[in-house]
Amino acid sequence: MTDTSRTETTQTETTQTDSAPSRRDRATEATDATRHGAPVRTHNLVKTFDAAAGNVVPAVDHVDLDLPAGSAVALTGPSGSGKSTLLHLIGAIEKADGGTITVGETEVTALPGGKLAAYRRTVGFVFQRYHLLPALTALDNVLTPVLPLKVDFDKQARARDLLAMVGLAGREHDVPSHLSGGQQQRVAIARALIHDPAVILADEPTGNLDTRTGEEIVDLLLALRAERGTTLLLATHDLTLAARCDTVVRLRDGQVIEVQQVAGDRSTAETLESIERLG
Amino acid sequence: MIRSQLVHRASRTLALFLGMLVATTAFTVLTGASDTSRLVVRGEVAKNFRPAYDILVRPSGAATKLEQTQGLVRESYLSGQSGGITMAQYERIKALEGVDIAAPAAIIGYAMQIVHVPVDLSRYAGAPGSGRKVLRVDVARKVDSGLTTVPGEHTFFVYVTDDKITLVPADGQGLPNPYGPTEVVGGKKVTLCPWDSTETTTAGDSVINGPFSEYVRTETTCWQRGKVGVVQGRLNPEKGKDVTVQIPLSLPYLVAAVDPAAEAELVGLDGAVTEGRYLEDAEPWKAVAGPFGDGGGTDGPSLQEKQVPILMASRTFATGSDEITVSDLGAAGVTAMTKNLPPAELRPALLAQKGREIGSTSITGQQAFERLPGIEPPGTQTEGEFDYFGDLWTASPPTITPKGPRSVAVQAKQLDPTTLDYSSFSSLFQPLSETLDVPFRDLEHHGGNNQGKKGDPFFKIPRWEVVGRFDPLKVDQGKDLAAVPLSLYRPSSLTGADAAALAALKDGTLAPNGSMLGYAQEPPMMLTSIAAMDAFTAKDAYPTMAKAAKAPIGSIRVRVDGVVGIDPISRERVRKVAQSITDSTGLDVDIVVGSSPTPVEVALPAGKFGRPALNLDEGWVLKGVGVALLQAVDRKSMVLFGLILVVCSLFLANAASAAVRSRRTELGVLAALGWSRRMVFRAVLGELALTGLLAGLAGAALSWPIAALAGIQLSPWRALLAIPAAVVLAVLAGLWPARVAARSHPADAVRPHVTAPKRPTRLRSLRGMAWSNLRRVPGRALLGVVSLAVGVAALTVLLGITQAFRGAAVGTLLGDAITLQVRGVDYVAVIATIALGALATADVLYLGVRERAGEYSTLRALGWTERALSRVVTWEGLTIGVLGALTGAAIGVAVTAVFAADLPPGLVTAGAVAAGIGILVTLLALLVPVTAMRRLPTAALLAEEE
Repeated sequence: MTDTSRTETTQTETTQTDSAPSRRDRATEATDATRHGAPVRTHNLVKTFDAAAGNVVPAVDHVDLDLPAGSAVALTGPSGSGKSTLLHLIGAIEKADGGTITVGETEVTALPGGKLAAYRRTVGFVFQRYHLLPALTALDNVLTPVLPLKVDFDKQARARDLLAMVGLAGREHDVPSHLSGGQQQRVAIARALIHDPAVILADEPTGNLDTRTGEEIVDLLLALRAERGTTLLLATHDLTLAARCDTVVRLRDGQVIEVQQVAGDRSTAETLESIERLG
Repeated sequence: MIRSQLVHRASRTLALFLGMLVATTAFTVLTGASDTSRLVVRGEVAKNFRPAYDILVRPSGAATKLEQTQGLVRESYLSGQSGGITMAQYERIKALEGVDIAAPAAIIGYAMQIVHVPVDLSRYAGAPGSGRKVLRVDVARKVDSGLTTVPGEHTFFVYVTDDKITLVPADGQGLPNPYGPTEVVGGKKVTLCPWDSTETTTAGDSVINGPFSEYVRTETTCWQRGKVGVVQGRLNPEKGKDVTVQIPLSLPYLVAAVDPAAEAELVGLDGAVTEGRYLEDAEPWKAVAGPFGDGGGTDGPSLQEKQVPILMASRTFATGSDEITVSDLGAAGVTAMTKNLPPAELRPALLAQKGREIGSTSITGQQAFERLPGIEPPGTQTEGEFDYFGDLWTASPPTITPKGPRSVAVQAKQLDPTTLDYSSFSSLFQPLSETLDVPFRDLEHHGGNNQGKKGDPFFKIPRWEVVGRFDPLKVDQGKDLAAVPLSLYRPSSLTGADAAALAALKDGTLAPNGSMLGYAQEPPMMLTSIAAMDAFTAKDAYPTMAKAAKAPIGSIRVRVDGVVGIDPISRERVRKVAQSITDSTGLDVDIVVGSSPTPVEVALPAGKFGRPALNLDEGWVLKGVGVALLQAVDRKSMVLFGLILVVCSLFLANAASAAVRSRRTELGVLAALGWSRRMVFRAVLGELALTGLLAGLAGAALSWPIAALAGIQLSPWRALLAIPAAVVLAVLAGLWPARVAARSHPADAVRPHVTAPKRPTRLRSLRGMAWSNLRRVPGRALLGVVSLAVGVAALTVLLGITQAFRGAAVGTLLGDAITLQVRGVDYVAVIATIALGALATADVLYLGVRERAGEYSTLRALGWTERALSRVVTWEGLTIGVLGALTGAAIGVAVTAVFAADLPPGLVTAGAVAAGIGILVTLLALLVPVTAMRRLPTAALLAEEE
């Protein structure tokens, strides 16, 4: 399930990162990428945190995943099961203690510190609390990832297009505090797409939203995945939402306890819920 | 609760404690430094405040424009000042209330005194039986540290023969003309060393021939080996048989009259007497029997003479030597000498011959000085020795034109050779050859009247009696740092002002030479009592001294009664007396109490005999240095104290408010739990007060070693003052943050720390983002700007007032000494001020990073590089830095201008320098937030926000 062209793009990026003259190239390549996602693989992935009294708590415990390009994957599990940590590891926000992560052809865990920023631009992160910059308008928030970069596309036009795509046409100049939670999350999604990423990592994107809005957001993410072929990793408590993905990865205490292919219908959701309840 | 907070939030408490500690220690040490600086200056000024005299009174118009505009007094003011103050004015000043001592000095003029220095030529004269020989002896004057060599001071032609020399006529009667001793040469009697009486008159040889004529400066002497020597027709005065020449040197000596009692009291002149006795109070001249008759000669009844008591200097300050070259003129010289030529033909014939140099020697100035008849031990003067004053000369002050505030150019003058003629006696006196060099003074000749007058019992020209000798260097000129002009006892100090002058002058100084017209002059070598002065000013003694007779005094040095120090009362006393002198006499008055020597650069044109143009430093005196220094240091202390207080308080306020801000969530929770505003207010303030107390204790303990290391005097009381000061400052600084804290809303526990500005910023660049960040926390940004601005303002003020302070006394000995002493303290203050400013700025930026950590983490997660993130923080810092630095520099310039009462030169430069340092320091301070930002735990922060 490897997408060759996407892999090449990622590879090029990782070898040119943080070299000033190549900044434009990198950005261009990211945005010119084909509308296909990248496969995400983890092997024996480990992340631990120090807890009180010198105890070590495994947040991600020897996780092996092989997620095809363009798939929509839901990471489910109770609080503390390691969903967010796993996303942070894949998004290179957190450094793994062991194992490997490969996104496309890029072995993320082998990237030196100086090349991580370029890698991060190939994934789009969507946070539960949106993390918009409160002082900036919706448009400027979408623009923040490309602010320090020189790119050969029209930043403003792309940001406007993205906002329109997420249904916020006409709200470009509103600051986050003037937008509803769902609208803020749409801005965050538009921001995540500015680099036209191969992978979108969404960490409880509906956690702060009501059910209806949450569903809309998931609809949006799935629509984007369908339209762009982007690989989508979605951490969520909501099994109903999870059931709408292709694959559900269940985590508990940092370990993958089940990987289930789902059809995205209600019965599967109900099944998942019952498993969860039983588990 | 408070104690629990302090213990359980150890890191935050430590940060607050350290902030307060820095502020408290800095405050204690800096105020100590400021005080030390003040004490040093006051002490040094007080120690050097009182010079030998308080007020210098000079004739009206005597002070040059440069002196008037720059508050200067020339060092050599006296040497060219031959009167202008009347005896009546002097008496009025003496009688003024508040005048303790009024010491007049009257320059009478230069007297010329001749010395003969023998030079033995036996070894060049040839052995007995070696035949006739003519030696040429050339004497050249070498002066001005060897830079000036004037040939032709004297030329001797010494004829030596084995044959008999006969004095004709032996009884001195019926002289032929020309006449001289004879010798039989080749069977023919020839006149040797001839003298022609028609070449001179009784009015004086130099009148006809000029003082530098060949006639005057050339001498022939004849010697019969082992038998007799004849010098210009007379037997060798040394009466020896060795071939010798007597080199005549006419040394000019300045004669001045003083009030012996005032001088003793003012400068301890009586204590400087090394031989004989001191002048008596108001000692007059004495009438003594003299050798001359009333016909001007020795005929008639003997006249009485006015014998003036003289205290003679025991050392000369004039330097220079006579370089003597001996040449053998060979057969040509012998032929010329034995040709029976009249003097007028013989001189050029001999002068034309250079001969072969066979030897050289020199006579030092001191050797010449020691042969002066006048300085023989008192009471051993030989009867009939020439101890008359003869003609006198007075010299004008040099004409100087200002070139800058502390530099002048000396104008060359034209020499009127007739002023060097001598009229009282015959050609005994010949000014030294350096008198022919480029003159810097106008000379006035006062011919003495040696013509007796029937019925007048006195011979007109006074004679002297050396009653004692004094060492001018033993005269008390007061403290070195407050030395005032004492031209009566010291020559002006002229040292090389640039490398060229220092290289040219062997010992670095230009000493006086033997010219009355030179720039450098010897102080008076002969002092008499002002009561004896009428021996000179009597109108028939020196007819041209009429002006001097009317106003003979050149200056009066006044010491004011009841002046004990630099206190305002003493200063007012001096001012009042000075005012009274001006009001009652109209004379020029300079208050020199509190003055200090300062070099003024003197550009001296080149001489005619080898001395190049020289730039010299002459030790003038800058008036009012002491008071200016005191005022400057007082201003400096006051401004410094204020600035230190503001900087430390701001620093402390920042630390306190940061501590409160960091507890925002917690206070919100407390509010949610039902704490009243009052309870929160008290808890926050109590915590600050307790931390302040601890910081005060530590600050007091820390100030001692720091002050000791920095050489600052810190009293235990001042150190202990740190404790209440820290508590009070902490509470004051915490009032506003505590009030804000007390208003904490439960929602604060969950609301983000940093909110959006009222108006969103259009995001175009990283700079724009930085600006937006600053606008979101305007209070804190302002605090950063203000902290830095105060630091930069403090630095500007410090630089400015230090400059003004130095400007108040720049280049003066006292100012330089004090500046050197307080420099270390100034540096401590500067470094501490900059450090505080930097810490405050770093603190503000650091807090910004901490409070926006979540945002930075988001940006990092979105793919921003560390460089891009750092640039945002750097732009924030730079904006604060530039705004703070420029504002601070502007405030600093304004404050300094107000406190210094004018705009000291270079203040704007000082402001620019301070602003530059402020920006530089901000850049350095940026290391703290940038490092902090790079260490932000991105994932943890993002998770925390989830």
